[in-house]
Amino acid sequence: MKKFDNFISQFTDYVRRIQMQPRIRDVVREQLSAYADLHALTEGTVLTATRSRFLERINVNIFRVGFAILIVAVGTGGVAYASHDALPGDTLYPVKVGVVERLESAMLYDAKTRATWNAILAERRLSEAAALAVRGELDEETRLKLEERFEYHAARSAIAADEVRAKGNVAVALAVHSDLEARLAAHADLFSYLATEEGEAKKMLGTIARVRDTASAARQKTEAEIPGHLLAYDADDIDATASVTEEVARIAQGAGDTATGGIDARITAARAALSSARDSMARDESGVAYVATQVAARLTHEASILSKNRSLIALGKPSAPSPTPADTAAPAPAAASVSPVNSATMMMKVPDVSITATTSTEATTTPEEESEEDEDNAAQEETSSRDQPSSSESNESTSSETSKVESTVKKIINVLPGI
Amino acid sequence: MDQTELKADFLRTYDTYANDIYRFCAVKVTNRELAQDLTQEVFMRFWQTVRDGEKLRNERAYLYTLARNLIIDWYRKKKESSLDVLTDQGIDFGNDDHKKIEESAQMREVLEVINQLDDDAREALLLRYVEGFTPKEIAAMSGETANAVSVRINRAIKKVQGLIQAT
Repeated sequence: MKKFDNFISQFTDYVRRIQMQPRIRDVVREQLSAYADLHALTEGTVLTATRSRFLERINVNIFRVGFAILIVAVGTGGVAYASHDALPGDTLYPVKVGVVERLESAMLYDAKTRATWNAILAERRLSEAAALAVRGELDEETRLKLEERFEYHAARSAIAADEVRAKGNVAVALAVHSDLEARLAAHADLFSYLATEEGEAKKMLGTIARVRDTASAARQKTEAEIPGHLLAYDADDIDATASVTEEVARIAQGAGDTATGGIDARITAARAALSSARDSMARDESGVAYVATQVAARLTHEASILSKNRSLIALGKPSAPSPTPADTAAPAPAAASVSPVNSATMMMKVPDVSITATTSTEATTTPEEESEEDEDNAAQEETSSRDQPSSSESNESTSSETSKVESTVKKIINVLPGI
Repeated sequence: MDQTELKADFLRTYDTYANDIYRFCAVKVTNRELAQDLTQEVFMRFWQTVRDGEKLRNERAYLYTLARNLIIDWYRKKKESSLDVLTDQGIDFGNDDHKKIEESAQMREVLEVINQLDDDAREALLLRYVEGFTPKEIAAMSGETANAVSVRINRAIKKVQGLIQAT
């Protein structure tokens, strides 16, 4: 029995040391706080708890705006959809981050999907910050909140990618690590255009660069683990990536604006990486070819993001961007110093997991991610209108839709009793 | 108590029990990120219950009940490996001496034993000895009788004793 007691003692000691990371705990706390606001108590709620401090006596009140919004959101998919355009400070923003994104997140159990989804959310927070910065509405409080959420999602993306790697899917892990890095690197460039002297955008840029460096290190570490030969990887996958690269190049061609340099440099480097990948494949070094193709995919993804945000960049200061060395350096075929993108977006077959090969009109998105990308860039597209002749028309249209929804929400709030 | 006060109480409850619920989830699902998600979901459901005015006797036990049910739902969808995954993934320990713990041969033996237990036995030991619930409280969570829970705990103890003897 003494042995058993010792066992229990050690087991207890071990398990009780398991704790949430303080930062994660704080972020969850913040989200719960927002959730409680959004799901405020209904009037007349009476709790008759017998013991709990928390549940003692309540005869409550309050029906907050958030609850009315929730009713609308649940009742009409339109509001939930419209909330994708919302920015911090908008009426619908709590619906976007507190309801819609949470519901979407709750569906994801697969580590790869979670990694990509969190990378999308991290980028979404950056896009929101960029949109606010362009409007001159990015204050310190909002920046800090967006930074916190951005870092949270970036961290979770990296953790999920590491989970994939831990299960032996190194090629897929490389793809998802690269996906995050591509989004961060492109937005670091974007913010370098937007940053003024000592403004909030500049502070945000510092945070993005730091997180990007972390993501880059994780990607390089994974890259080094790619074996020299990948069984299911072949030249068709290189061609698929090349077609996407050329599509992005075609869309970005002749823009003649501030962002063109960054985009062109990436397209050039992506082509060089693809050429290197073909050489490696000819030598039957499919693993090396895969890494080089991933480099091309990452650079293409970055170019695509910058291209989508060209009009936004044009509104920022016309200074040179500061891409990472890995962005501009000619990619090497070896796994050491080059960085891939997004095979979640760039669709390649990898040895242990098959990723569908598709080329979308938006160049770097798979069908499944295309809709996410659409949502993802909704905020950006308020100020970014690459394919539209008049960005102001687009903005007015989007703003008009959002205003309608907000107006509806306000009407409902006014009609509901006890508000 | 108005919304503001109630919310403050809710957040204090979170501050008090977040680590406990996270730990319970982490041991059960052996996945750090999923445990975080489950913990958040537990407290969201807890808030919903409070908001709906349901009568609760023991908030701590209720939180574990919510966690347990969510984990059961998750297990129906997917089931994963062993406690070793916790350390492989770098599960978060409250202090910085986890390496020392992991390196401990004794701790490794403990984990080897725990990993050989089935889910019921592992949960019984966790709730009884780590979390300190009585069989009656555990019974309230699982919908069993206190007697059935006691039997389960005893079986777990015997199983552990057998495994210890074998090592």
